[in-house]
Amino acid sequence: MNIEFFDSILRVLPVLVVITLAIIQLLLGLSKEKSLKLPLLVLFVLFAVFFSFLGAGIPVKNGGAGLLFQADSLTWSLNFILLSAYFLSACLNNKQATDKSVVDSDVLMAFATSGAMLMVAAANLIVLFIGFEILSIAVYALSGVAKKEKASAEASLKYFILGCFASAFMLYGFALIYGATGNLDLAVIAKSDNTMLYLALGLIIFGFAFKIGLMPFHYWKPDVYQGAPITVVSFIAVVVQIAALAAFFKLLAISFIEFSAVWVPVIAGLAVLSMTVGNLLALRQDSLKRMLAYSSIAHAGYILMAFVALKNSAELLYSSITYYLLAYALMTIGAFAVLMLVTGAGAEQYKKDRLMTFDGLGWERPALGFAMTLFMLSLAGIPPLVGFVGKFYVFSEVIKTDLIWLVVAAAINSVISFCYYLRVVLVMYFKTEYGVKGKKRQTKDSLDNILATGYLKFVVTISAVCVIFFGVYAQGWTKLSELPNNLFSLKQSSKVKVDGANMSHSVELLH
Amino acid sequence: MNYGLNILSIIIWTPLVGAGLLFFVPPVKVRLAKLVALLITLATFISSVNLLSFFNAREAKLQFVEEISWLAQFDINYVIGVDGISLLLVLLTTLLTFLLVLSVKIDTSNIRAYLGSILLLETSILGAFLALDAIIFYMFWELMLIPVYFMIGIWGTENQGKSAFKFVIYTAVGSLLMLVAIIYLGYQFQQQFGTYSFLFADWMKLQLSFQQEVMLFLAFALAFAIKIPIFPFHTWLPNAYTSAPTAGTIILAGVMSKLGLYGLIRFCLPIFPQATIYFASLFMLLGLVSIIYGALMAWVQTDLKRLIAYSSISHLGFCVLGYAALNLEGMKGCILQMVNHGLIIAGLFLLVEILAAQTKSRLILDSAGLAVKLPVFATVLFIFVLGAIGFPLTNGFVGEFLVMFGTFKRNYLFGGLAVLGVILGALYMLSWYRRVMFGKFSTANNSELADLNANELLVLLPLLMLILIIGIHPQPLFNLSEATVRMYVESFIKK
Repeated sequence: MNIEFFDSILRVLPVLVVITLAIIQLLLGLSKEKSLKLPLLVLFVLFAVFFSFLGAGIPVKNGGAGLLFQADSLTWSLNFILLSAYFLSACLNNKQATDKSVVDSDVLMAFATSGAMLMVAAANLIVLFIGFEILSIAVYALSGVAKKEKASAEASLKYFILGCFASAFMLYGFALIYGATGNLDLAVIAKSDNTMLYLALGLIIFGFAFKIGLMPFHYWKPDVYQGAPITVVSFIAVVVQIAALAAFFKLLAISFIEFSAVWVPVIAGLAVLSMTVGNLLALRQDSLKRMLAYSSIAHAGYILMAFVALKNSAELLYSSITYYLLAYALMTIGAFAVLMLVTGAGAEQYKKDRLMTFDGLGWERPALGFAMTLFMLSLAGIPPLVGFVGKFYVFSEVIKTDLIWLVVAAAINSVISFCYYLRVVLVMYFKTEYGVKGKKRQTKDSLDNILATGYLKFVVTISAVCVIFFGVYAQGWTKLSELPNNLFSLKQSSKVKVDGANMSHSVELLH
Repeated sequence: MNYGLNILSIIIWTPLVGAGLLFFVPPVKVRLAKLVALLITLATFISSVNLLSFFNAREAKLQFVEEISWLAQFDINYVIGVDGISLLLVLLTTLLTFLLVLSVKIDTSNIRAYLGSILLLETSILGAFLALDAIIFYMFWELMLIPVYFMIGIWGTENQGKSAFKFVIYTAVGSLLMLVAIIYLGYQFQQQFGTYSFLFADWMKLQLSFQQEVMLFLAFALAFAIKIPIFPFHTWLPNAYTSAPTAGTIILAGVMSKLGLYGLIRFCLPIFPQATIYFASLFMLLGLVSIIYGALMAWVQTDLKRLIAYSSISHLGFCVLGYAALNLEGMKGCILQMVNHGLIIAGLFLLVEILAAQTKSRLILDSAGLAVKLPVFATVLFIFVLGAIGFPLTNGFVGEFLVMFGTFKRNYLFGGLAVLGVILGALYMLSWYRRVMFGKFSTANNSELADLNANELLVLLPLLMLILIIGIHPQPLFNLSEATVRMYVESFIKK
């Protein structure tokens, strides 16, 4: 037993903690013990956060060669976002469908989260792929969890078939990389130059573009969002999208940085396409879930846009991207929680998932209306909320690359997005031809049922407070994400090692 | 100059605190809600007047500067300060907000939310006037949309949802491009000087190529032109002004339009001097078109509120003209005219609202000969109308005179056309006044008429007195802004 063994165990410990949680939930589910759900969740998530924090303090030897898992402050901040998003989504998943499926979806969510954490921590292609598959398979099953709904079954099948294609393409890409370089280590691939890598890169971009739901590969997204129950949708929208974006980002940053001349135009094109078409299609939606599906495509486009800045200073870029991911997670989960409070749970959520359900909400339930307004304004990017700061970060990163047209395109897109986000606010507050009617709405009853649990209100409150807090005090996130560095006072460069010179520099400082 | 208190921060944030306080007032206690809002706006007004006693008018530089770090990795700081130009506009804002809270009717629905929106709006406007860091400026600038959106949408009339929407989208188009330009400038600064900076003062040191200047100038100018608005970006205005409740209309016309002009002076002039000269003729032309187009459109309106809305476009054209003349007289005229326009337009909108409440109609043709029944109203209105047409001894005269003087110095043709605008202004203003006030008495709905009551007089008299005082003795106002304006113009001419 040497120290290195413990180190590598510690690096993967957060993932193990979440897997343990999944297994315990599975066992408890068999014995129908449900009162333990929240304490367990809180305990294990806190443990996972704690261990990923400790993990960031482990010194890296030999510039990180031969590692399977990475544990640095980037991994820490991504884990933090994923775990918080998982925690909030799991809180939503409460008494919303039949009891049995709640247990199922609890377990599946925990497994999916462990896969997501594996993806963002991977330093090796095989680990990355295993994480990718754990995540995907759990999510295919999740989207079909409302067994009695045809839409849900359809969503699950559609997602599964298309997802398998994407996985296959990606695996083929990984295989080509191995064929070309004889290595699966992310950092080693970066140093080789082989024509076959171009093909591999193409396949990998394809696979990730599907998983994230970027524009030409997005067709599963609106249907899955509409078909799956809201809790599952919020999980897919946040955890899956964040994990996929983060893993994609790390792969490009570590392994394919030398190929940036090839992928920058592709990524820029995908980003603009996703934003523009996503926003334009969102304009026409009556279903809130579909609207948020298209809006998530658009937001993926904004984040993707920041990838083109990878060539420049990585220092700021990481915190910019993680900030945007955090912002996106908070706003989206919050919006879904409000949606769930309004449309209720069970079968009726499909019928009520319409803009008109929000009619007059702002006056009937001021606090809820206020929270929804906050989320919508933040998604639209109104200062001083998180959405604005996120956009500011991304815009400033991209401007450094002199791709001004890309930023202008994003700015114009933001205006388009104003239209549909503000429409929700309009329906909630304004008297229009279809708006605010005097009569009491019938949804009241189902609402009270759910309110009794209090979970949803808790999620809405937490998200709303964070949307304001991290917006006004944007510095807070930077401090949090760099906390391990400052605390362990590591001199190593906290970031992913991009090139050899950088790497040797940080290793030198260590000794 | 800082005497221990962060006086500017107090001025900016007091209204927001007030909005928070309103939240705790029980919904039924409408009088208490109004009282709270009134006291808060009064306190804000008094502390801004208090600035005068500590403000050094001979100093052209920014005073009372405060600085707090906000986003360290981009060197964005919450920096605020005041100079001769922003001081006047801050005073105008706090005065008008106080007066219009005073004018708010007790029976307004959801009065707490209404007053809260006004207070939030005041905070964001004051913040935008006082911010010295571009990102902070942008944040206040964009935040402003939200209360206006709600005010038009909830308390507005006549297709209010659409008007609110149009207003937000128009403004957002301009401001998001401005955000891109702001970030680009910050990045340019980092390229040239090694560290990020979003301070206006720092940006004056930037070396920009002509092409860069033109592009950036356009991005900024578009945002400002939409806000003012200058023809042809004015199409949101008639809808928004007409739909908005009176308080919303007054803030939009009286204060928010000034933000556009303020931005032109604060950003475009010192940071993009070459582009400003390059586009000066265009701006003069657009200013002139606004004057004449606004006047002609006002002439043919039948609805009084719409008429005043178009007259506002016309009057703001004078400010643009003064700005684009790019000389000391024009600039002084522009700044004075900004204050004047705020005072006059607020009074006119208030009076039209009172009239509409009395006669149950805003159409010109529905009433005639009201002067007989409403003598006080007619007198007060007449003074505001005189101010609007720039009659000597009212403030409008001084401002318009300076603007035209500046314009003549620059270009005789434009100066001549501006005079035409003044004549047109007198024509349409006096003609509707004559139709409504003189002739045989009649009202459409035979409603009972009552002259101005004490509350209304209380709101209108300060405006009225200021119109006359500035008209007779404008020197103190010039003294306040003289040093700053001189510095802006002179440093501009040097470049």
